[in-house]
Amino acid sequence: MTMANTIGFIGTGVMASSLIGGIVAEGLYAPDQIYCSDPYPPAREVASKKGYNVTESNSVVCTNAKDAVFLAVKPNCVLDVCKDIAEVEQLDAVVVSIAAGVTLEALENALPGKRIVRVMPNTPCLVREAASGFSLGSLATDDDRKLVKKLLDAVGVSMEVPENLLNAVTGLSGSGPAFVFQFIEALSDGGVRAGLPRHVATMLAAQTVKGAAEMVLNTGKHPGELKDGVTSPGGTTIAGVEALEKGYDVVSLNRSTFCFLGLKIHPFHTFFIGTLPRHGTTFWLYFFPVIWYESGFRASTMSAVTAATKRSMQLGGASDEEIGNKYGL
Amino acid sequence: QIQCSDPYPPAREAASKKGYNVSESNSIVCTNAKDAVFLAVKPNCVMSACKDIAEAEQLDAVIVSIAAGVTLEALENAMPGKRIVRVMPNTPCLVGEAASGFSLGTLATNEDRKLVKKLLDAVGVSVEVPENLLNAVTGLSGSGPAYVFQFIEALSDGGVRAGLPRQVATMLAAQTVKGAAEMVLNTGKHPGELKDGVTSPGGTTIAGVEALEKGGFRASTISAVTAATKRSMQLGGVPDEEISNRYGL
Repeated sequence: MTMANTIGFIGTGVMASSLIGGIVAEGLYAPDQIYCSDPYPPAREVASKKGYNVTESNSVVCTNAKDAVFLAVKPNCVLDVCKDIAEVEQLDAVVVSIAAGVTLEALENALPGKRIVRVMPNTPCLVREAASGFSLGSLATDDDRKLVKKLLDAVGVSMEVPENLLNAVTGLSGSGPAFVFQFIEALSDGGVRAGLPRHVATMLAAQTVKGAAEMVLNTGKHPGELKDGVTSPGGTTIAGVEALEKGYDVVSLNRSTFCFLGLKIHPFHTFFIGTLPRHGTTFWLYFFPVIWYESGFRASTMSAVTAATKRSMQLGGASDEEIGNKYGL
Repeated sequence: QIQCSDPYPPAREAASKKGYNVSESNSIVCTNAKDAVFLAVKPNCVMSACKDIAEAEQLDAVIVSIAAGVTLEALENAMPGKRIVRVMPNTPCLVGEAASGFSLGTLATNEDRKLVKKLLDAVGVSVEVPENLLNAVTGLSGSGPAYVFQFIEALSDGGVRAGLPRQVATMLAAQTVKGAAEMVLNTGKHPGELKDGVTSPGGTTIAGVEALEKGGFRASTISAVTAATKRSMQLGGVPDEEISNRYGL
């Protein structure tokens, strides 16, 4: 159902274009109900051809957008843009920031009195299959919540989370697509190793990943239960699952770190432990890989999410001590 | 326009309610189905179903077998003179997102090829391969969904480890996997190029990618596909010697 009013986008980059495209395709707003601004003339021309109202001025967007104004510029430009927004007194729309790492506190300080929602979307927004987390600012209302969710759901799925969990959302769905690309490339490599032509392997790999994910979303079953449902006794699939769980076949000694008694030890470290008094023979203790950590398919996958979450916290200014003590990462 | 048979009465009732023509007799299905007849019974029941089909003389439809591991040779021996196509579909067929490989028998025609592809594409995507590659298709797209379920569960575990509630983590994980796969299919770009496009210098994503690499994630994934392919060959009766000498697995 088409909304009565208007929305605005400051910045018309890749994410903004995808959002607008999805919103228009879902029939939520018509092209002439969209206001956007961009400093870059070719970008304005592209937007104009799609039938949007285009301007060079952020203030014009803010004056005309009644329901929501999206802040879709690069994180380092956000606070500058906020100056333009703060000056527009009659702005009654909710301000929706999709800038990674810019906190609600920073936004609320830069835009006093404005209602703000912070969003962490992800790249598959481009194909209308985004996974987004969003958090409400202190003045945002329930109607703001509903509107933002409606808009985000036009390009995928969305979930509201407390702001302190946005680093985790970054680590999982924000960074996740790259982990999936690695997975698909490796599945394709496996297919080629098994004899398939590359284009066949990549296509089957990508479609298999898409279809299986759709099964999780569609059936609502636990992934483990779905896995049980497709692993027949002694069959091909459980043989594959075993290989995933084992980790890789050949131990790569020179690339890995081992954990022994809580110490990180380089392979082939040796320790002098004593000398036999009479014989004068020295004894050395060699440490061989005893415990693997971080390896194995599922362990590496978990590590990927936590490593990206930790990095997100670091970039947001959290101290390593806090990351270690408070969040345990 | 759908004719189906099943030995199990509740199954026949469910099919009947959907408006299909339902019968207990395989022969009736073969008499009435003009374009194609799908063999959709368990692999161990295929040969007895073939006897019924072989007896239906006026059957001019292409026979499409979706039974895992039953070769074109076995099917052609059981149904002399019939045109046969062998398919390896996968479970996401249930949600209309199958990935299927198919191979034509010796008598199947170009029209058969087009029809089968059209039917399979109604529930996902499909690609024709020589029959000797169906074991690899089994190892990749046939068994692949299980690897994806493991991946999604682990991503969700990572999210919970990082502080998200379980249902949020699983939903974001599954949607992320779906969306990223859609990007590969939709843009046609190399997955490595797509990965380059989302890993900004010193950012969160490349930190995650490093953890994957350290853990040998990609090596385990390759191993999963080859282990399942090997198992498929073993189940198909290929001796271990041939598997290792000829196929190098």
